[in-house]
Amino acid sequence: MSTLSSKLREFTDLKSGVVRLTLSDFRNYKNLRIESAISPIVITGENGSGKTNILEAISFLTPGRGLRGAKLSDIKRIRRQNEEESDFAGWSVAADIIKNGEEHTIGTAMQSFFKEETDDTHSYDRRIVKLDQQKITQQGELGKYISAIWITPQMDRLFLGGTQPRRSFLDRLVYAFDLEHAKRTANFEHLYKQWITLIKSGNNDIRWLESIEADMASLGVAIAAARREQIARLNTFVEQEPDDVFPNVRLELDGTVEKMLDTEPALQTEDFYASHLAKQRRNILYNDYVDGVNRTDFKVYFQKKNMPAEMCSTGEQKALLVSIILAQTKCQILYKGFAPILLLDEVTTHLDDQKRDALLDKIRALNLQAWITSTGLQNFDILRNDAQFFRLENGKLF
Amino acid sequence: MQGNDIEKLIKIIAKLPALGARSSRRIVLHLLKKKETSLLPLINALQNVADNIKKCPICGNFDTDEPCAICADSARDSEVICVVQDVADLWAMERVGLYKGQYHVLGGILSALDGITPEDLNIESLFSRLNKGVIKEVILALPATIDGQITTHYLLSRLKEYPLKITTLAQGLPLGAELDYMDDGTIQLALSARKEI
Repeated sequence: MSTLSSKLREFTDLKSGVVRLTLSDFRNYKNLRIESAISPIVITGENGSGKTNILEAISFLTPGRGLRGAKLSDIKRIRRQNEEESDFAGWSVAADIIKNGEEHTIGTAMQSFFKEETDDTHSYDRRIVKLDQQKITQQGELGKYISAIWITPQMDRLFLGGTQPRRSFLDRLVYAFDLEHAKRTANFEHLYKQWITLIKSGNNDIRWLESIEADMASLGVAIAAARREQIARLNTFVEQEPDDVFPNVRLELDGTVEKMLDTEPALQTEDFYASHLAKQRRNILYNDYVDGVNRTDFKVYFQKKNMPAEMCSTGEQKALLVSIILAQTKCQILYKGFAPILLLDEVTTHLDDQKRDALLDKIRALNLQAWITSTGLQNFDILRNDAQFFRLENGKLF
Repeated sequence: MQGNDIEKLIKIIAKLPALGARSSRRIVLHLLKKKETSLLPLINALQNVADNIKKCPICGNFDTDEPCAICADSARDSEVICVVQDVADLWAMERVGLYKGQYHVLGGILSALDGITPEDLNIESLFSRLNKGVIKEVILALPATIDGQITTHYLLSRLKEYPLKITTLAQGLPLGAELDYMDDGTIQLALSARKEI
């Protein structure tokens, strides 16, 4: 066994994952409890039976807005005609988790609160999070205890179309290693909105604009540096540990700030970025296009063919995505010291038989917890002795 | 069901910060039950405040005197000004009792999204005070949020034109905190602002 494999084994043998999951008023579930093993978990059921909802609930145990990026109020179970309104405060997900053998509890729920505004009192929703029964204010803290990586059917088109979904995907890969990255991107987004609103309002207070631009530049360079670091980490890993079945990827960043960091120190890049933003103030009035870390593209190449992912076939694109996820998973185990949970929604679609079996076999070999959904059982023969199997019918698990 | 007046009172109290409909009902019920010891003294106190409260024309603090007791106190250091977001922050500083200088209350922080511009804040009066040439130090005690930071930077860019010592409050670990429970950003801040002992 190679040093790398034994190190991976060392951490996955310690076990990390969800051992008990309880959903209340979450999507189609009034109440659902699952006792799960740290192993592959295969959930089968018809379309619309609620398989993805279970994966989404697990994704809410990690920082962020879950695998669908849904509005909190949209997750609340739809009230039946005979149910009282007062019984419908919100939704909650509770879990007993294990991180490298240590037990912890995580609870998260939607809470509505009221805020008085000039015209009336408005209701807002927010997510509250508890770790080991203690309320925590920084969701990022969860990242120290649990991590999840997901593939959903929507991601089959990740390499086609606009840059935003690819950028968000990359940022999620970065969060797993750098918990501050989530805060940085959220703060950058907030400043970006402030900046645009200020310019569009016609307020030409140069000092105010420059203050915002300086902070955007400093956050932007930190964001770009963290993305570069993650790309370098994954490229090095793929170089050293090429996969035997899935196509090896080469990852690149296509962004002005990231490129400048190739040759210039961070402080100089910050100064450049601040003046670059100042020069673009007029753009906002005409076309809303602003160059910077908010426009960076995450480029993926099929290494052997030297072909951009968007030019590859649908199956190849899926295989490239799986390849990135496998590299990220192994990097997380090696460098963060605990295994992420894999949430794989209809992951076998578009993969040929060899790649499908190889993926399931690799998941089994990694000895980690992977929640896999599918409409049928036929593709999972390879896991029959190693996985926990659940069938979903009418919102109940069998 | 309550009468119209009581209903109206419940609605008014429910709109106060940190209160909701349930706590408002409890407060109103308490006031009704304790008319002599709670309701009437409250009415009295509210009336007095409404009749006499003034916004200090120098620093923006609330007081019944003009200028406020802090600005009028000759024992306080008139060469140092602490800039705070709101009167609540001034009260917090005064509770500590350590600071003996003057204050300047901005009345908010800059936010283009909420339409709060420098003109909406008590900023020009700060520079009028500085132009008199007495002030030697300005302490920027604004919130450690992203908008607080922008306001700090905005003021800093204007304050740099004055021969002043400009300081901000230290950021880092709260008293009694355990490192293990701190988020990474706080630890990074505390580490970069470490001091020799």
